[in-house]
Amino acid sequence: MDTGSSKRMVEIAGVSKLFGTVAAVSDATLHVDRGDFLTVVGPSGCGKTTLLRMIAGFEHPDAGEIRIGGRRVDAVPPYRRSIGMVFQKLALFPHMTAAENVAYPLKMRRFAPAKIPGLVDEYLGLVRLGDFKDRRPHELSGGQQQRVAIARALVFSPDLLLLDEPLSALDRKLREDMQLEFRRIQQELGVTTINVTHDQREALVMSDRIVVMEGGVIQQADDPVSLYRQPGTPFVARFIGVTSMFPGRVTKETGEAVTVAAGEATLTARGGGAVLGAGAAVECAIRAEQIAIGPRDGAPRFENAVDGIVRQRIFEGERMVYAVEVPGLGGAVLNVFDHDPVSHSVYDETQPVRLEWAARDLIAFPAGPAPAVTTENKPTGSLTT
Amino acid sequence: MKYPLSWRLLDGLEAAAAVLWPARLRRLTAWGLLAPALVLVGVLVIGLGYMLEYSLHELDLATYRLTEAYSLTNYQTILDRPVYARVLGRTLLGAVLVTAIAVALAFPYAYALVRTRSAALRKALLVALFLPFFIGQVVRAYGWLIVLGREGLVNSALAGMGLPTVDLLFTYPAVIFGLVQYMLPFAILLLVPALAAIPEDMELASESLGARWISTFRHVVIPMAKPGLIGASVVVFTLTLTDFAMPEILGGGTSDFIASAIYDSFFQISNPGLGAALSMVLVTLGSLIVAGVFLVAGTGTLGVRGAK
Ligand SMILES: Nc1ncnc2c1ncn2[C@@H]1O[C@H](COP(=O)(O)OP(=O)(O)OP(=O)(O)O)[C@@H](O)[C@H]1O
Ligand SMILES: [Mg+2]
Repeated sequence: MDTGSSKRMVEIAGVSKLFGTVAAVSDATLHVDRGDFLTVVGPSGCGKTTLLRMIAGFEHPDAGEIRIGGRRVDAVPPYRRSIGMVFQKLALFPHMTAAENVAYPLKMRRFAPAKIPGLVDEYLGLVRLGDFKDRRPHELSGGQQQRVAIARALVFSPDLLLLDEPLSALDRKLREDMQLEFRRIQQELGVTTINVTHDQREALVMSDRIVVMEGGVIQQADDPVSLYRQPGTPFVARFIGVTSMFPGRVTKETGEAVTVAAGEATLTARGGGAVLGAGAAVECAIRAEQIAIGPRDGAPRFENAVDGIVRQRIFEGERMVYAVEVPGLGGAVLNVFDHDPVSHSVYDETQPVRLEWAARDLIAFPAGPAPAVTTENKPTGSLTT
Repeated sequence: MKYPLSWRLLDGLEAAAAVLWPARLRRLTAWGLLAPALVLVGVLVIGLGYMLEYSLHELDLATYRLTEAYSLTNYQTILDRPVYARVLGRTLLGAVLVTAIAVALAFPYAYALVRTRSAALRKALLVALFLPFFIGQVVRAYGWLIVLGREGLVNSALAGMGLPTVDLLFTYPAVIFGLVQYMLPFAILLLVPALAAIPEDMELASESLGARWISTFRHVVIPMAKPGLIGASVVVFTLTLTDFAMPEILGGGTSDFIASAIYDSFFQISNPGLGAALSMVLVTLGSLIVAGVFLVAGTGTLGVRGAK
């Protein structure tokens, strides 16, 4: 075993999986470090479950290789892999009690019978279900079932924990509680975890690293903050956070900054991961919370300013959400968050406003199908491909 | 806004129903729907009552009529004549054997049908499953006569290889064989929904928790398929217990089941009292065994989730 593989718990290189002619996963390359919590996030049908099933050994890649703990696992059947998995629908055994469910992997993996009750109690305690040992799954609430499933997946101290959207069926409050609960348990045990979700919030909240997938292709892999700050493709920009997009054309390029003509406006932006020469068609992305909304006659605050009309206003308590139509940008509608609705003025529908934002917050991506960013070799924070 | 025609038609129907069948009568609806089944069961119960009545009258050999007086003579006859004990034992053993073999063979078939990823294989399995239903039991039994007979396919093949021919027909194993072949589709048909109700994730979960497929089968698939297994067993068992054609045709009189004995009592020796008594014994025995199975396996077996 070389030094690299002792830090890397999972290495996936060039893995593809075809179903008929559909490429569920194509040429995926990623790694997970020991003890890390990695989340694979993407819209429904993008290949997340397929990727997870290949790691678990239920599906065989058509190309590429998967290593777990430095060892190639192509020929290793699922029951010999040291992987705990929590399924999308939990898959608790309905004819067994919570304790029997948790004891199952210990029995199957030939743990000493004398040790089993102690381990079962320990892990049911860890998920705070000590008092529910003898209940069957249908006698437990949704959240309690989640806890049994996670205890069952962890009780035999697997090298790797796989979570296939186990929280997606819960209501929002419970889901958020369980996210923190999962994270607490993961950190307490230090188990390497791959979580799969289509909920970008969940990905941001829980993960050490995030992999964004679309259409079977890995778009970007980074830590949550870098990913949020520096989306590598328009898809990532749109998928993570609330982002408005509009088309433009580069008129001047000066180092990192580019000048973009969009509609009747001239804006300053930063290049999003590609060299953009003058004349290049671009897609511009701006996050809702980066836009300042104000009256049209106010003093300029940022490099970029456009005038618009409020089309919709939604009050969410801690923030005000505006949809502002900007005729000068070809009628694009920009989403705007105002995070201080207490002291800032409130603008009503049809009211004219001015939107402003800093040059560094506007990202210009090359238009059209952008090449996916291969972030595996990319130093964190860089913007180049 | 115009709604599609089918919606408007359904709305019309509903309005008409509301007039013809006002809400006051709604609670009778369930009974109304149950009525045909209740009538059918009722007729059966009445028939059974008549049977019981017949069985309690001895045959008067002078008039060949049942005597007026009540007696247990017919039941005494069944106890006294060892042939009836033999036939009954043969029937019970046959039912147990056929149930065990048919369910054991049906399980992998149903499992493959439910789990296969190949659409072609699934279709083939389905066709092979339903085909026998289009061919009656008697026709199939005659088919076996042709295949297994003295000059049949098997013996021709044996003769062709220079081996001595064997008597395959008119033996107890031939009857069991024919019955298993006849019951298999019923068993499969009852097992398929039970297996289809087990999410594949259950098996994958078991596997990833460290179980080989054989442990997965033992600890997950079979316990979860229990309702189907019990349903299939009960149906195959009772159908075999009361079967007539297979023992008649493939047994050729050597391996009569109790149904043949009942038939003979009614139509060969014209003793309806004895036939009725035999029928009562059969019904009682069958009911007791099935009741016993349900008692042991739990009343919730036939699908009620969570019942212990
Ligand atoms: N067994 C299969 N046979 C054929 N196509 C499949 C199979 N499994 C998945 N696919 C296809 O592969 C693609 C990826 O599926 P996958 O289940 O990995 O998506 P997902 O990202 O997990 O989606 P979701 O968020 O809805 O669970 C989809 O287009 C799906 O239709
Ligand atoms: Mg999925």
